[in-house]
Amino acid sequence: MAQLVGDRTLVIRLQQGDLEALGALFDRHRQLVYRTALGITADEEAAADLLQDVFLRVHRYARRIDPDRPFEPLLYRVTANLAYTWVRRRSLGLRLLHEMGEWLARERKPTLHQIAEADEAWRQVREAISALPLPQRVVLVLHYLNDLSVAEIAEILEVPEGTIKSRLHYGRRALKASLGLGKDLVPEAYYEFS
Amino acid sequence: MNFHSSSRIDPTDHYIRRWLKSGLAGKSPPGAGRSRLLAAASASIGAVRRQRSPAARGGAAMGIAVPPDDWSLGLARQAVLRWFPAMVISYRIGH
Repeated sequence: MAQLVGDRTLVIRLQQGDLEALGALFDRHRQLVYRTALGITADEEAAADLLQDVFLRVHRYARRIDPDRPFEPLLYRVTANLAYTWVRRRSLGLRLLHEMGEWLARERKPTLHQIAEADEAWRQVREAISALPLPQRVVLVLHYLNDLSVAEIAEILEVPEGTIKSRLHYGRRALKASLGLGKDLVPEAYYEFS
Repeated sequence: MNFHSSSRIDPTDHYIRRWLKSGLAGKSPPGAGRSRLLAAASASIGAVRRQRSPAARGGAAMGIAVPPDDWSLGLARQAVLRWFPAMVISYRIGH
């Protein structure tokens, strides 16, 4: 609740032209936006750019934001939309040249950024997520990373709940297959104590 | 302790949630993001102000009469020729 009141005040200050309020909103939500964008794009550079874009849009359209409504769903919506557009553009082939350049550079001299990318957990996530169709990827990230319910995701993406459920189902199934999940999970884990 | 099938938790959900969160846990945005953002935001404010300023829109915005330029006169002439060709021709003949 304190978070909600804080966001409300900051949005009002931003609407009055206070740039420090934008900075404060950025500090508070940057991790959420960055990781959501990273989950969807599976690209750290893109996620950093999208983080900027999301908050620049918040600044540009500040007057249209209703300060009495929670701020996070708006951030999720803008992030998902921008990340969606980015992935679709990349799939058109524009990104291929850039990736080839990166690959060539990596062969010669690995940077700190590239070394960090070699982190096993992240590599696994990146590969598995990248293999999913984009609509499923967005829903999975919002559901599993951001802990949003089907109803919340449906509202954010302005898509019927049935569609979200279906994307979640197929995305989950694809992830299960790519991670080799299912048979080896402990049976006790199927139940919780009450 | 009771087991309830109604409160069943799918281990796949649990696993995927943990897997995704731990995969992204170490990831943070670059440190210079805030200053970059504020610089871009203030630059965009400057651009909008410049666009809206009276100087950018010419003297008319400041209430000063601005004489028509050649381009505007040319457009007006074309319009007159299109709408009243006979008048212009008779004007030319008369002079």
